[in-house]
Amino acid sequence: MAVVLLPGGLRELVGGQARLELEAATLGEAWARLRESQPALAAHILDAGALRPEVRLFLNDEDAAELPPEHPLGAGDELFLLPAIAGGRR
Amino acid sequence: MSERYARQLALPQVGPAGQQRLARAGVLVVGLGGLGSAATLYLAAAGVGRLGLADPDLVSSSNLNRQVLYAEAHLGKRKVEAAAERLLGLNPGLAVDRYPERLERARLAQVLPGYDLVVDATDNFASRYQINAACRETGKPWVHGAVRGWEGVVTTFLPEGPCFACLYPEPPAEPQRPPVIGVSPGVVGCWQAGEALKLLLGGERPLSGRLLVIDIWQGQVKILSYRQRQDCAGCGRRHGEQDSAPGPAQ
Repeated sequence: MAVVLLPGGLRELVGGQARLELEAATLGEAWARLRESQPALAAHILDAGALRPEVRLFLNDEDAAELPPEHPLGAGDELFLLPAIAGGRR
Repeated sequence: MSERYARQLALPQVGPAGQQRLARAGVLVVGLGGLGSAATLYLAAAGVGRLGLADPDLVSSSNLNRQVLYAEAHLGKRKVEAAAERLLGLNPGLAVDRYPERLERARLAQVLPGYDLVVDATDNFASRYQINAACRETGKPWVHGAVRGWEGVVTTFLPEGPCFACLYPEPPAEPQRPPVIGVSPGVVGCWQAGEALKLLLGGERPLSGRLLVIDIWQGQVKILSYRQRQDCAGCGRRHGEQDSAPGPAQ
């Protein structure tokens, strides 16, 4: 069971949840489960089955931007999704 | 050394030599909104000798929930002038350079040699790609901050480390004015000022290659690692080729 952690901007797409649990053995399976269980979130972060380039992925707090879809996930692995944040001046 | 700095002079990371370094230092702050308010106030209070203040806007009432540099009396004034007035009132020993303009890459590269580093307090990715390119070109570090809602991020880009385009190779489609509570830029801007002071004082652990993510509402702080991308358009062609910025800054 992998855990997906979501910042505020994405929580509104999953009914306010900050944390999702997914039965997935690989990253690619995680995105497939997400498309089935959270279509609004999946549509926002995925494009043709892969993460959109403006969404950063971290696996256990480490850069996972270049990991392939077949990368294995273990029990308790944490995926953190971070869309780019722009605000600050106005 | 002035009584003004007595409480920080006692710190081993500062001391008289560090205070002198701060007094000789210059920081360019691009953007004088929520992030720039917090960052400039604490940089001025700490005794940074010169601040460059860049922002083309005027103070409006919708700024006042978070842009703590300004008061009702500043409404309609140029932000650079109102900020300079406030910061010089806080620390008359400060030297202030005013840039009432949107600093584009060429202009940034022109003024950057007069500063030690840049604090990014902007609100858009186009400006950040331009800061990234100008800092790469001039070999200056910069401290990035951004906020939305109750959240924010901070990271530092060093000339030899991963760059902004390594972290964000593509600009996002962002709302022009995302909702924000004032404490978010307050916390993030203060942390940016802390990173800037640390760089000026020679601190050993800047947030280079590490992204601090703060979620005030959830009560969470994370530090995420990121790497330099070999195919990065911002820094991956540094050897013998001119840097370029992706997205709208090009």
